[in-house]
Amino acid sequence: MTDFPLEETRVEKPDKSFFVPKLCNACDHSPCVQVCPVGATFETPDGAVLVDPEYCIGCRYCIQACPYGTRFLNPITGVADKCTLCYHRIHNGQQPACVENCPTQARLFGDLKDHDGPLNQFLREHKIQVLKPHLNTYPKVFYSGIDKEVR
Amino acid sequence: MPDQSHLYEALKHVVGYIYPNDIEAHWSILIVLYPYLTGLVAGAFILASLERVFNVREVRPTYRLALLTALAFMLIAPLPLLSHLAKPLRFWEILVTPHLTSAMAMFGFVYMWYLMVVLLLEIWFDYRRDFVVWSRESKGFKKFLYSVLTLGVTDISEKAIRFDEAAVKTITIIGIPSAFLLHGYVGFIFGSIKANPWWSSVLMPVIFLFSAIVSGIALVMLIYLLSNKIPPRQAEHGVS
Ligand code: SF4
Ligand code: SF4
Repeated sequence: MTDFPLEETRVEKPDKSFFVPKLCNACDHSPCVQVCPVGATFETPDGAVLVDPEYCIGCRYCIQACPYGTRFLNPITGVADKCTLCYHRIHNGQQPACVENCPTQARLFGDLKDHDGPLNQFLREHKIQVLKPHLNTYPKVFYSGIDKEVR
Repeated sequence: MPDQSHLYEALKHVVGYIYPNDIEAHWSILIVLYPYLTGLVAGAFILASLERVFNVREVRPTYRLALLTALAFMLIAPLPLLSHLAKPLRFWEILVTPHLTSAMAMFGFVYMWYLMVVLLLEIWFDYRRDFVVWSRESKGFKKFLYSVLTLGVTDISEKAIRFDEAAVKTITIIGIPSAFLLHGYVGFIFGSIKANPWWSSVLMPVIFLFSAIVSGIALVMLIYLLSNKIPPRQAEHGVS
């Protein structure tokens, strides 16, 4: 890899570029839950999608099936792993770590079922998109004012 | 823990964004091997059924060879899958607690159906008369083995043989759609992954099937040629 001819592989300069944080989109119709042969990936009643590390057989089918590329095989535990939406934190009433630490407060976390809550209010007042809507995964992660080029 | 230092090296050359699963960009060579093996099974079986159902006389000498090839490859087909699992010791969970919406879990049943109901049964009916004859002729352990293989059915009258032949034919007729199911389903495992635009196509099962037929028949031809070269035994000429 070290003598990879970097000079020759020039990429065209983009006209426009964005920062798009990619995380597990917590799909409502999640392909990863659907394909897991043993049901090790499951959706919690409150909408997070988690992996049971005691049950996962490491077949990696879900890694191929996730349209957002957010799953990986944890090299230490040997089972599939993913963003858990900081399930351990949100259960203690805390925010996910990324939401809490973001210096510009670009991220917002809340209860989608709470119709008058701050999250739903934000969703009503802004131009909202989801990633890859044509795949019908119904993500519960929304992007505000994102360019339609972003996939 | 696998050595991942090469990834840090690769990271220097990344332009644009990367995904968490970029470690797993390819599913791995074992996953390529496994549809290849089931393809050989389906193809070999279809060659065998050419003789039985469609009465293609020319392929008659390969009938038993094709069946045994199918069985041999069927038995090892799950091995690459198994050794590809990160937790191979948990594989039984697929069979005990299958997740019904998962194409991979359902494949376990397709596999079992094909192995038990089609392949083993057809081979048993086809070989039953020979098992009986061999168990009478041989001695010692071989005698014991062949008598066990007859499963206690030692009737080789005209009528019983005719029943065997009818059974083989019926099973082959069930077997052809089952072979299509077996390998078409493997195509479906890949075709149902919407996330991968190169896979998500309804044509996937068809592509898999046709490549299976071609490669399976080629494999039997190769084994037949080679086994004819081994002196002094000649390959069987379909004594059934
Ligand atoms: S983004 Fe991927 S990992 Fe997350 S729920 Fe959807 S399919 Fe599963
Ligand atoms: S890797 Fe684990 S979580 Fe993913 S599909 Fe296989 S068993 Fe399920």
